Amino acid sequence: MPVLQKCILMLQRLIKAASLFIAIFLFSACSAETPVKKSDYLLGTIVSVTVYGCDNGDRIIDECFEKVREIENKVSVAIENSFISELNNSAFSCEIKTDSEVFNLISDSLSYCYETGGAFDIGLGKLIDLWGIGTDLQAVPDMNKLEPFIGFKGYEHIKLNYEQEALCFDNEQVSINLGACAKGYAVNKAVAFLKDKGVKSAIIDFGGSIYIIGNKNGKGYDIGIADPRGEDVGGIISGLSDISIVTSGDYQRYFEQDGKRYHHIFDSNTAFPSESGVRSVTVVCSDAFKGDCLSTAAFVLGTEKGSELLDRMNCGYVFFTDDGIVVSEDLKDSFSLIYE
Amino acid sequence: MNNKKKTGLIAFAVILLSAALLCCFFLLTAGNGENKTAYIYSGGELLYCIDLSGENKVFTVKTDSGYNKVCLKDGKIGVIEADCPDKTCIKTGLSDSPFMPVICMPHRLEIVIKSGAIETDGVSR
Repeated sequence: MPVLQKCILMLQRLIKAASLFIAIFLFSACSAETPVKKSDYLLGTIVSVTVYGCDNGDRIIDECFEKVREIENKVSVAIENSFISELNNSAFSCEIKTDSEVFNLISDSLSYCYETGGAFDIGLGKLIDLWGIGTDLQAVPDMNKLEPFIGFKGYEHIKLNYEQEALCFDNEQVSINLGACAKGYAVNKAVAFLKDKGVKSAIIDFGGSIYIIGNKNGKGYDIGIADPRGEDVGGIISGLSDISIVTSGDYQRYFEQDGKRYHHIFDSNTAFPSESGVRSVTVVCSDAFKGDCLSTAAFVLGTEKGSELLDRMNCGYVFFTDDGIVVSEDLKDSFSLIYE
Repeated sequence: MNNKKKTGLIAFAVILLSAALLCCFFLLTAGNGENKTAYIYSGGELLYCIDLSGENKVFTVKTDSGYNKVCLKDGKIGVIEADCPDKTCIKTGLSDSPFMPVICMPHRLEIVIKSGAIETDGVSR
């Protein structure tokens, strides 16, 4: 056989071997490890779930969203006949029995209200409505209307009857708004549902309140933290698994009036949006509901008191403030800053 | 030399040449037209990620061993000033190549360039 022919034969064999290798590689990349991601609009935000390594991920996510919709129907103040709306309409000086899940959620939320001294307060619904942030009516309210809310602690006026699973408000200014914790609660419920269905690896992202189930190909997930004054990511926490990452910030829902920014997280001491110098605080802990409540509280309290609270509650954190960035000890090795 | 050996040698030469050509191709085209990100490590710990398409800037990375002044200019990054003894990091110049990291051994500082934008699995906001 001529030399050239032998060379061609050898090259043909090499190409066949390479093709086989590539085919095996491509085939393995399309196995059950291919993620399934679905999104929906729930709880006033875009919610998305990505599951890895699950043959019936599509159906599981649909069922998961159905569970979240049930929660929304119970707790949203935007839904007229939700349990929370019913309570807000009728619970002043009159004990109202409510749904068991809603009662427990209010009870758990109140625990964090007391734990944070009111920095997180579910009883400020009327103050939130007064400002109307995110609506067509958003504007700085008249001081006459704001004055009754200065120093007002709504949560202290929500009285629970544990035996009857009923509650009443002993002050007319009270109105419950669970906007600062409902997403975290729903994330927890979604996580429990997905785990119950045998999901071993997933990302649950409800409007930026995130929970990571398991890991990806043996490695933890890398979650970015939005830059409070930019459009991109401001930092990354790497190697996360089985943990929640929740951020409260002044940059998503706000309006500007006379050159000043008015955001949606209120300080009950002033009845104005909090001016603690914090632009955003990201809380990392095993419970998304806890993270949601405490991120709001830490935002209002500011870096010093907020970090004390989060240290005490065993949470990791990253503060983006007017003066710089503060990272908790446990996250220092896994946090990296995006240098702008 | 018999025919079998000749065939083997020629095949080996062809493969070697192809590999060299492929390497040249990848070296010359790696990341061209894509976003690139520089990852700055100190002692193996990631400190910063920087989009190389960002604005020109100079900043200082301080470690227990000393400092390195890092410069991002026209899509390239490197060290322009440092108090390390050998100054090898400065001599490396500015790089935008994933194949040419900038390293300061005395300060255990490493600037690694990767093709592609900064990637995360999700963003908390």
